[in-house]
Amino acid sequence: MTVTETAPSTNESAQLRSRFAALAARSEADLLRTARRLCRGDEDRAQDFVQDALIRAYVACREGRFDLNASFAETRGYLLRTITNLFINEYRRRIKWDAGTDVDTLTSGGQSGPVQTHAKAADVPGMGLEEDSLDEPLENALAALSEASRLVVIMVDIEERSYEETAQILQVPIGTVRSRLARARQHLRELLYSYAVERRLTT
Amino acid sequence: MTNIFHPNSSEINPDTEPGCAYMQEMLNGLADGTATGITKWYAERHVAHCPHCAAALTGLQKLRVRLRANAGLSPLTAGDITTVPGAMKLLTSDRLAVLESKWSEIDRENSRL
Repeated sequence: MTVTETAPSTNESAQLRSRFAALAARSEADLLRTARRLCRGDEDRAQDFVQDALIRAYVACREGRFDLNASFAETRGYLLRTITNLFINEYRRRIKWDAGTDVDTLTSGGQSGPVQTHAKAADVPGMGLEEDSLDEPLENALAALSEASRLVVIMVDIEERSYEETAQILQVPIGTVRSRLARARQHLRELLYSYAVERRLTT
Repeated sequence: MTNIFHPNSSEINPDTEPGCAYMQEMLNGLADGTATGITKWYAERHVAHCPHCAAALTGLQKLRVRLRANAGLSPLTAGDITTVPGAMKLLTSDRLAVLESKWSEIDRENSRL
């Protein structure tokens, strides 16, 4: 069967599909940037997450669980949360396999090891997207955090989720969210300071 | 003038100062507004007298502002609508093809219901 043969049969259905495609196009850059940040700039994984999120969201849309009539801020927010949730599902699966590993020092590949303190140039999550508006040292510092730390910072400080919601999604006690967040923010401040000093020394 | 309670306060680096060890989580709560009740009261009183924690709080607040400013989302404009047709340009062509095919599959399944 070809795609053209199976195009939406009703006007309403075709309209829904075209509106969803328009939303996807309008949000694409934001979705990809968020996915790259979560994946430390791993382009392949980031693209996979965006693709999967847009499939899930379309199912939700057809089932009436995702309202396209909501404001752009809300619809984009829904898509961004879908990406983070997909990432967290994958992260949880990975740490189950790594039972016994300290999740606070888990790296993006799932192996434990010393926390990377400097992200590689290729890891900058915003590559190709409005580079001028990107705070590169901050993105590098985020990429240098352990996965567990990066997730709480992204969820609480960037996505503005509550501690309770973050704890529920990550399936950890709220006290763990609090302590991870405190450690992660302090680590970020130190990294940003060292980047600033480096920059001053090299210019 | 030397602070008699914190004689080393001139050595504070506002960019990295962590504050008192036992205050870490409370300072974070103050910075993001989640501290409430007696915890908030205690933390505020402590910060008022401790230059290390005051510097740490300022640093945490600055970090929060910087993180929000770099959330990486394109700005919303008044009357922003999402129904204007447009094409996705950043996903690779094979992923776009998968998307089109999956969306069509979902359409077919829904039309059968």
